[in-house]
Amino acid sequence: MTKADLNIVIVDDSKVSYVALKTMLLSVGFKKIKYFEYPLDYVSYLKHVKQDELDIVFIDYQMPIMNGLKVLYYTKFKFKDIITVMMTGSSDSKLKEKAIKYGVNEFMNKGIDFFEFKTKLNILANLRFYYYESKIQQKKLETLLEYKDTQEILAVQKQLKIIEDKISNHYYGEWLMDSFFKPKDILSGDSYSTLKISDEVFFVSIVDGMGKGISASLSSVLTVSFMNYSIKKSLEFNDFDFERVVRDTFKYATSIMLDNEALSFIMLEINLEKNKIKYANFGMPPIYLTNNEEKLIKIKPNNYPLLQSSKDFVIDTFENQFDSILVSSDGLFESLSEDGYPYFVRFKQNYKNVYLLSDLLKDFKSNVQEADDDMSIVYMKKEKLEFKTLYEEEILLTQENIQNEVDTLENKILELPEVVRDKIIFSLNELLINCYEHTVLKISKNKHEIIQKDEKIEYNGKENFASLTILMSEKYAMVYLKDNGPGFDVSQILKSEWFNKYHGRGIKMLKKLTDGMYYNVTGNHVKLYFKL
Amino acid sequence: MDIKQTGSMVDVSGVIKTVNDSQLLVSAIKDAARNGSVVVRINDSFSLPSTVIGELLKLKDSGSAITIEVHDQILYELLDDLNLVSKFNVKLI
Repeated sequence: MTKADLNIVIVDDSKVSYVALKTMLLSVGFKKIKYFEYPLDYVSYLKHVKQDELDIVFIDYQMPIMNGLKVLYYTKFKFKDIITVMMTGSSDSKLKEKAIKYGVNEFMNKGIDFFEFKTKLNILANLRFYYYESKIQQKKLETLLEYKDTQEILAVQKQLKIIEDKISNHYYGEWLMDSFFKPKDILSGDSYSTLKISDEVFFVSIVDGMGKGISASLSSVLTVSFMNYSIKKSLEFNDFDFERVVRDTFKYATSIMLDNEALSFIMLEINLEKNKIKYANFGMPPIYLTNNEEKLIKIKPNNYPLLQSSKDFVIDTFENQFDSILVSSDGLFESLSEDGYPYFVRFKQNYKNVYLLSDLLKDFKSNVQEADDDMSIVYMKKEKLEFKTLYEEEILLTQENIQNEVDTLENKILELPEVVRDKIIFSLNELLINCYEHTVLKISKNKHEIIQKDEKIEYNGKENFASLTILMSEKYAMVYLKDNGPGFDVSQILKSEWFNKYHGRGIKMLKKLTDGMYYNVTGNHVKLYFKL
Repeated sequence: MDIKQTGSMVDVSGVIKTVNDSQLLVSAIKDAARNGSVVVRINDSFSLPSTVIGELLKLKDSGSAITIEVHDQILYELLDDLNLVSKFNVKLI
């Protein structure tokens, strides 16, 4: 851009002055010069002109009908970034003070020396060039930030797709299983994996790329991706071997690491029937277990964090009774509590009071302002509470019957606090409608199309029932609902942060409102826990 | 639960929990949105049934402007977890 590209306007009732000013402007390189003899014509012009069609305005102060100050005011009111020059020979300081208040950029005498004029105009033109350049830079920055945001969202989606969590929000036999994953940054250095190997055997792993940034995150995500793929393949061929998975993952991870990088990770094979845990812990926090006497058992790491140069590893076995197991990355233990100590100190004292993972998370949230690192937690607990039955019913799954059941339920569970009753009724509303859709109307993945087309679904005429039990212990109320429908893949529904449009939200709401939500493997039986 | 509908405003008091509550609320929202915008004020409820969320999504897709005013922190967090805060212009009052 040059001076010749800038749009100049002169507002002056004296044609003589205009010609003199125009001559000087042309001689210093300006070409686009517009003239207004009458201020009111200029004000009309201002109404229609666009921001970038006006660059420098010369305004005569002494004009009839409307003086230069008013013209200045209107100009700056419409476009505050436009350069304005007040042409006046007056030394009236009040006039100048007012002009400055309205935003004037320069004062000039009509009889200004040509070289002084040229110098001032160079400065004003440069200001305008800077304005255009900064607009271009701002646009570039906005585009870059938009690109970065999109890439970050895609990266998180990819990471969530790679993470496999097949046990969270499930119960297997007497065991309630849960997990928690919260990245500190948009792309997490933590990744994790939970897989069901058989009805009694589960695989759990957490990987923590040490240090921050994309490199650590990539190492972590790639390692989990490799691990998940190789386990899935071994399950396909029915030859899962924990030692082989550890060895292959160890070799793979060392092959992708940079020479200044370190990777902490833990891998476990948990056999719940035999009370047996095989583990390889490469510098992650200890595994915590409790046994029947509520005693806290700590299993320390048996390997150092993985380096590119790491050559060997060990796998150990723990074999004893346990009724809970907690595996976590360091984000849980090392975050500072409000008392100034790492949360780990409080954890050791309070862990025996934890029954559900939500108990631990509530305690963490009420004592730690913000986690210092990514947090990944996997938790399993053997059910051992003694419940008494408050209500038991077989519910015929018709819309009318569901409505009656939910509407009349409140009076049958009056032993529970009102807030818990409200949550139970809301939850049952969601669950029973879900049962009705899945079991009776056979709506599942086609829900989106049905809603879009506003289709009416016919009741299929079969009699379907759901079995509802509401129980109460000293600390929790529990809703146990079973239907005989096909169920659904709970892990898949919960995995995506980017929900399918019309389904999956009910389950997510239940997870948020309850203190624990656990489905069976087929997804047609569910236990909901509510803390009293 | 009690619903008051005036023009495009739907004002809900009490907890929205039963099937009947959901149906009444969906009906009021549909009626309020006839002129292309609806404001749903939820004074007490800690949750919003998925049936109601589904209806609001349909309205949004068909071009209606939606605003939800909530008073309960849990409900706000829930809608945030469901990525609905900006979609439904949710405000915590």
